[in-house]
Amino acid sequence: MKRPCLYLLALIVFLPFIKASAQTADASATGISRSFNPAISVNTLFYAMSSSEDTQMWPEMGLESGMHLQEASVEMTSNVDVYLTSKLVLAGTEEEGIEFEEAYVTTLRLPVPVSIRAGKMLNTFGRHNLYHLHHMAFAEPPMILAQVFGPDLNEVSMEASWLVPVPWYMDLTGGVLNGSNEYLFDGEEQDDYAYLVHLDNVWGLSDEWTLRLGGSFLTGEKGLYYPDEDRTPVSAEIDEIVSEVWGTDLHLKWRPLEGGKYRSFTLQGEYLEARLNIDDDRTDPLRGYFVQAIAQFKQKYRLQARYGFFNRPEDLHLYFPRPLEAEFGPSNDLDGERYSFAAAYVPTEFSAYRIQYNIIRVGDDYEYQVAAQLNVTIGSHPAHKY
Amino acid sequence: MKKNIALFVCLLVLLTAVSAYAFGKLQVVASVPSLASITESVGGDNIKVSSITRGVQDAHYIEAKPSYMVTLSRADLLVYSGMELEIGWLPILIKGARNSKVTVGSEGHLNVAQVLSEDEILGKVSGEVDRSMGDVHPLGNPHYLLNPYNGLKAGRLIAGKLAELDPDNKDEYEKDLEKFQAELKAKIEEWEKKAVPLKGGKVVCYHPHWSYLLDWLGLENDGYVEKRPGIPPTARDSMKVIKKIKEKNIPVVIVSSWKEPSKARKVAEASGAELLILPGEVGAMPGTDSYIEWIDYLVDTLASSPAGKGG
Repeated sequence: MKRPCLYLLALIVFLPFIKASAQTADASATGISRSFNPAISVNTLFYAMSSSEDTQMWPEMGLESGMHLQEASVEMTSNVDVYLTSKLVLAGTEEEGIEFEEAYVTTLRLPVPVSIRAGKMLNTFGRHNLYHLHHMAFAEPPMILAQVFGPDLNEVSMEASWLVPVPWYMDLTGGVLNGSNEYLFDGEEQDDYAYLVHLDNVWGLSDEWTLRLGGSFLTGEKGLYYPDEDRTPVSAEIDEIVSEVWGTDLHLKWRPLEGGKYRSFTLQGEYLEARLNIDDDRTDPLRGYFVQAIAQFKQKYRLQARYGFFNRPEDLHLYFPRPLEAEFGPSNDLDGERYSFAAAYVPTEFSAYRIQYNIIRVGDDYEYQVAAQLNVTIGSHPAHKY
Repeated sequence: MKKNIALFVCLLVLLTAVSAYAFGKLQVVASVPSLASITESVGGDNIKVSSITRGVQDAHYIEAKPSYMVTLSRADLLVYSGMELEIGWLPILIKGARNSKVTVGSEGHLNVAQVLSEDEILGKVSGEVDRSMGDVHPLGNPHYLLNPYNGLKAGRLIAGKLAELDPDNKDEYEKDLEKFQAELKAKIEEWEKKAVPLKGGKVVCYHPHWSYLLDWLGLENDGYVEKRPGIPPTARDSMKVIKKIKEKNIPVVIVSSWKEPSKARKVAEASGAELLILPGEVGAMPGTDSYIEWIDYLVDTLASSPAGKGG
């Protein structure tokens, strides 16, 4: 009986010291340091959509009826060391689970005006492809990007960007991509890489107006199969297929020096053409474009409109099998367009509410959609590029 | 064709090399005009200074325009306020400029906020910070140059950095610093005399921008029109402020020139207070083209307002 009492007494006497030592213990003793944790943010997109049709014409590239968690993404950024910075974006959807949207490093200091990115990244093809879903002005990506890239080009790759020493901003990017996009590449050999070139020019027309004009080209060996579920082989007579995509992008922005927080106007558009070079015989291109305008007329309010168009020639229907072949028949020369009108309420940089109306035509069929989207970001999210 | 491409590439490489040495003067880029002005004063003719933002712009909400990257790509020294004032755009510019002279940790990278000791920082949030509190600066209010004593310290820090980067002209930087400090100290004495009637006076500000100025002049800030920083007030918030101004007979409502003034104006009109629209930065209004002119304007305007006349 005496011994337990002694232990208890000893515990009471030493308890304050135990507590004190716990308070002063730091990472050198615990091995747990939070000092160098990356900046972490989580973005979540919800939407509800009502359609004029029971079955959506193009659900995998646009919106679906009902209420959906469109995407939840976790972004982590941190400097690796003196030489590199790193970014990781994990994005998950209800249907497709979680994927690494981006995981790459960028050089911090090279002796020449060049930066190098390596890893899995949204590749520098045009401007819109660099936007994450939560950064887009509309609830879904433009039709033509969805058609060509399905819906974005994010490959394991290496890109080098050179700030060309001219009086205006000129950025020349060259990249080597793994070439795993099943619609465009996925060559037969492991070393069938794809190659990318992008030239970006920005001119300050005045203190308030900025014009951006860019051009992109992408090419790579394509696998000798159709991108259907069974990966059906193409004709045995075909030896080689090479994908070629080129695009041009334009971005015109007005933001006044005084009161720039309250008013702005953006006009943005891109044109893309994708074709296949089958044994040195080029197909007609899958082509299309989008143009969008965003008018901010108060700090929190924006009105937006977008028009998008695509045309897929008959001989590409097996290589670019979207929209659903079952719906529109496999061998048609198919075209489609989408008009989108939206009003956005953006109370802070970290939340936005959007109401959007879509008129979609694919072939001779029409669909009308009304959608409401909520976009929220928590945590430390790096600012978006211009 | 190949020859032409090779020639073009060679020309561009040559241009890159030449552009780095094209200017004899030290190229300095400041994030805001007040820092550009101080740098110009202590750097004299040996440097060329440009500011990324203009006085009429709210430095919290600048877009990282590629043209700013071009400017920064040619800089030998980057001077910025720090305390997260430029967090929305400066990191993108530094990355896009691809200039190893001004990246974090390089010799040409100068965060001027280091002149403040912990107890000199105003508006530092203690405890947990989250965005339901509005646009708070967790590290404290970054507008510290509104206190001219901090302007003196900034001048000393920047002159020291210029001398370090350009040791051949060290003596001239020291001379220019002495001249700047003598002029600023004389003005401080003059301003403090003018500000005597302001001591103990009360004002209401639209946004917590003016803390360092009010603290230096001995004015008491008795609340904000914005209930949470950066979030426009609701009608109810405004009514509460109007009631307070009336009850306490507060004579002045202050708003920065870069804020949309309509809500502050309504509060001032409904409460009978005078609305003062003050230049938020150097160059924000006519007659504020240098750091000293800016502070001069602020002190003069406050001293001649009802806040300086005992209400």
